[in-house]
Amino acid sequence: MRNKRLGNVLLPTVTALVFLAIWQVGVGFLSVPSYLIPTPWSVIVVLTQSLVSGFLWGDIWATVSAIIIGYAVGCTLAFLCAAAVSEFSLLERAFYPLIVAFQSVPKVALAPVIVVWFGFDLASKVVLICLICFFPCFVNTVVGLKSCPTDLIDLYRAFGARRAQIFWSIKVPSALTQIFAGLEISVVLALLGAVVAEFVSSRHGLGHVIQAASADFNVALMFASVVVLSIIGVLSTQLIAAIRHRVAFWEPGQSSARTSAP
Amino acid sequence: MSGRLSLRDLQLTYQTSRGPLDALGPLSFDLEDGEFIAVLGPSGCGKSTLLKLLSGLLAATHGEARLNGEIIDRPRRDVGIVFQKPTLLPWKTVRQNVLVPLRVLGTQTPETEKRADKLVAMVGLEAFAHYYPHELSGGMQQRVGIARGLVHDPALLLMDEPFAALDALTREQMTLELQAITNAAKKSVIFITHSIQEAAFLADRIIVLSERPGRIVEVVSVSLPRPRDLSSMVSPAFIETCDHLRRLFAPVHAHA
Repeated sequence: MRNKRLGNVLLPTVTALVFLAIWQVGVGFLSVPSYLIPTPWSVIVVLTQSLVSGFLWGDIWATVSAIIIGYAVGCTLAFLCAAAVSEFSLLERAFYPLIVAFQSVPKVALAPVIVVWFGFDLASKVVLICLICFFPCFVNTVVGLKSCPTDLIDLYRAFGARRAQIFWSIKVPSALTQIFAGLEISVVLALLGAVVAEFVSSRHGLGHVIQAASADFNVALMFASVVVLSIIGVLSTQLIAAIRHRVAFWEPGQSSARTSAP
Repeated sequence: MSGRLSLRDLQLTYQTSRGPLDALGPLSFDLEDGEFIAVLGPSGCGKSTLLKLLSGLLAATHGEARLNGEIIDRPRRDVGIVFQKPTLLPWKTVRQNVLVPLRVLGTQTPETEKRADKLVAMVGLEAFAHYYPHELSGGMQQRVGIARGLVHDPALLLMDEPFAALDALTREQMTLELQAITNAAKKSVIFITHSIQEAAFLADRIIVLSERPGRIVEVVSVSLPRPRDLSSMVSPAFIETCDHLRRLFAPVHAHA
């Protein structure tokens, strides 16, 4: 059992190391110019240098803070809208089809418009992240809130429970698994939204670093930024998954997520 | 606390897009104080509708049901319900689940909590009081449901095929246990079921319903002495009752 778990970590690590080794050797062997494909080693060197010199930290913080604000605001709005739509059928009929239709709008394509409206840097980043996070959270929360067993609702009603009590005591807890499924999808999308917004408008953030490095043919720095972004992505999904395990402890395994392309 | 239930011409008609649909009734019968009545009928005879009417979750379109003289026209605090599925709250322990009715009703006191603990013990889950539902077997979960149905000392206990989702062995065991529990708790019970044996073993009287709209085909009294145990299931009276019930459901040509 323990050996198997160890193997589950060890095997992919070995695969990754072998891949990186082939890359390292292959680039040197085929003498690919470093402005096209950097060696993994040079990426590591650039990454450590820029972290040690402190030059990258400001940009990391710019991206991360935008993600935190945009994600929090977007998911909160999504929860409130989902609550309203699932509780009041008039609102559902009036808004649900529109919100679902809105999902087909490629939000990323709106980025330049958002810059026109909200200016450079933080504000437009937050708005774009909000828009991108909203839908997966919204749909999953609606599905979760509606999947509450009717027997349970009847039981509470039979004891004279008020609507708000039914909502908070049983509907929200029964929806937690679905809500977290939405949160897990959204956190990855939030990262995407942040980078796109930084490509378009920002003077700070990892997206901006990548773009500036591209102008200088500094491919190693671009890769280093992508590595940092990936680490942020992995850490944030792990964080959300860990919270889900604590909060919705009765649901084993993976959540059934309703995903959607950004 | 226990209660007398009386139904007079109780009837429910749904309005659908294809016109009115008679779901149940008219039904008239009385449930005596402490009596156990099983309602037996084919699928779709409106048994669950009857339960919703008696718990006040649905309003009758005609006639009335009275519990201890009061018309049931809204959800009542003195009715307990046990569902087909346990429908427990997965984020609460066994004990917390049993306490749910008290919390919703706002009657949770040290005294009523003691009652809850007694009920948890009565359904044999004392050692599991702090377990979560997903750590229990289906039969154990359903026992939690039964304890929850009794915790607020209802005048009437409504049970909607509570053992239908269990495997055959657990089901038989649960039937025996329910018999002991209701004997001890002395409750008026309406027990809805598909199972002839279950009805014959548990009930004082069995109300046999027709297909939709459910109407009374026959009221069968069960003369088995209480308390009943496994040996009751092989007694002539039990076998006779089952046979009689089976014939009621048999197709017409089989009567000859």
